[in-house]
Amino acid sequence: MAADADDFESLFERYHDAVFRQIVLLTRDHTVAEDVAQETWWRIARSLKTFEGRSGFYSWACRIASNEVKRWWRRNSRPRIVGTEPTDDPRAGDQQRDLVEEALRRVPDKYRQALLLEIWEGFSIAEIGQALNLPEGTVKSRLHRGREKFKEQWLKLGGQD
Amino acid sequence: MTFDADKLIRDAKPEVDPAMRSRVLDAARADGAAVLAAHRPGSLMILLRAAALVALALGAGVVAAVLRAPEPVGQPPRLAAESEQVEDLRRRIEMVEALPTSTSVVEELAAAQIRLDQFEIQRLEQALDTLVAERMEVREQREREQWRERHIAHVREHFAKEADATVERLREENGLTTAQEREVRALLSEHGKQAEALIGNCYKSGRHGNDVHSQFAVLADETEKKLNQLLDEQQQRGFEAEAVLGADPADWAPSADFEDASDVDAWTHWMTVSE
Repeated sequence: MAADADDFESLFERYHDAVFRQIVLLTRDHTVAEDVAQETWWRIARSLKTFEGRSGFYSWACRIASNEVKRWWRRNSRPRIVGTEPTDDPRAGDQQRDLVEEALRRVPDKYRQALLLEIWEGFSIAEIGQALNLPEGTVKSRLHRGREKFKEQWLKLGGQD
Repeated sequence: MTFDADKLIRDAKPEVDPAMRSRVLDAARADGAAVLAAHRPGSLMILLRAAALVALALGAGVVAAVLRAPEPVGQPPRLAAESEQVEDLRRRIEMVEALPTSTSVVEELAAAQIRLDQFEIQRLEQALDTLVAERMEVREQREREQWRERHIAHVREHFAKEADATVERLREENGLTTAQEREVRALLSEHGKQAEALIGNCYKSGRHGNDVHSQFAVLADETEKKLNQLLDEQQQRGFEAEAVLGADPADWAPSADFEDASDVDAWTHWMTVSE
């Protein structure tokens, strides 16, 4: 790992917050999210040499994070039943935020990743393309579809147009 | 008032504690290797006893795990008999170790007995390993079938919706004719069936590595070519191939709206075999 330490540090610096926010979205619990984030980056550090770059680092990291969330649920005997989980979110009780988060969870991963990189992380189209290893045209398409899917889910969940 | 998705999403942005970031980085840098407690060397009998007891504990643990596995009929008599034999051996080793060690003849007899018992332990362990492996294979096959059924049902439902939405968009925005619509629907339907077949294959034979990626990519490419032959230039521009044809196995993942632990397992399994 010593040979890739610089790569790892710079990737961590660039993507930690984005990956962490994806984990918070999936777990709805900041304490659990920190545990999962530790496991995720530990695995990334050890698998970095085998990463081929086919899907873009951010997609790969989000996939590892999703797997770690599932593993956490299995270890803690908590099959995630949609809509019944308690939350350790410090801003819990904000109905609109809960609705937004649930709508985002229902947007397919590939659209959600691009959308949140733009809106939460402030990435440019080019930066999103690099993170996901996609041409800019596809990024724009995913952003457009992501917004459509979010609105669709938002309305389905009872949000106001 | 115009719907502002960006503002809604921006307002829901989770905060990241800088102290937490440092903790995550420290954890990622930490050496995760477990450190085994050092075993203090002692006499031959102490070492042999430790090795024998570890082997017995492993065998007993495996037996316990297998006995806990749900079975349609009662526990096979073979397993129960072999569990008893493992217990007998443990008692015998303890008796031998309790013998006085004041004479060399007694020591030699004790060492020989332990060696014999260890050969027997090895034989029993191999038999237990075979039984456990057989039982696990049956269980895994049942699980894989359940996951496959859920996966295909989910993909079928969602692909149908995506195909309908695509055709509707082409008709409303790019003037798709009735004849074109018939042919496009037929092509998309065939595409969905071939994708389901690729998914089904993964459940038969486990990991495919890069094969899965190239298979989905080739399928998407072929369908896109056929569709482009049916559509004019403007319609081709309006057709978002990437959104509906799914060149990446991740586009065909099972549902992520987990309703039970089996959904979690099915999703994780797909991510593993399609990676």
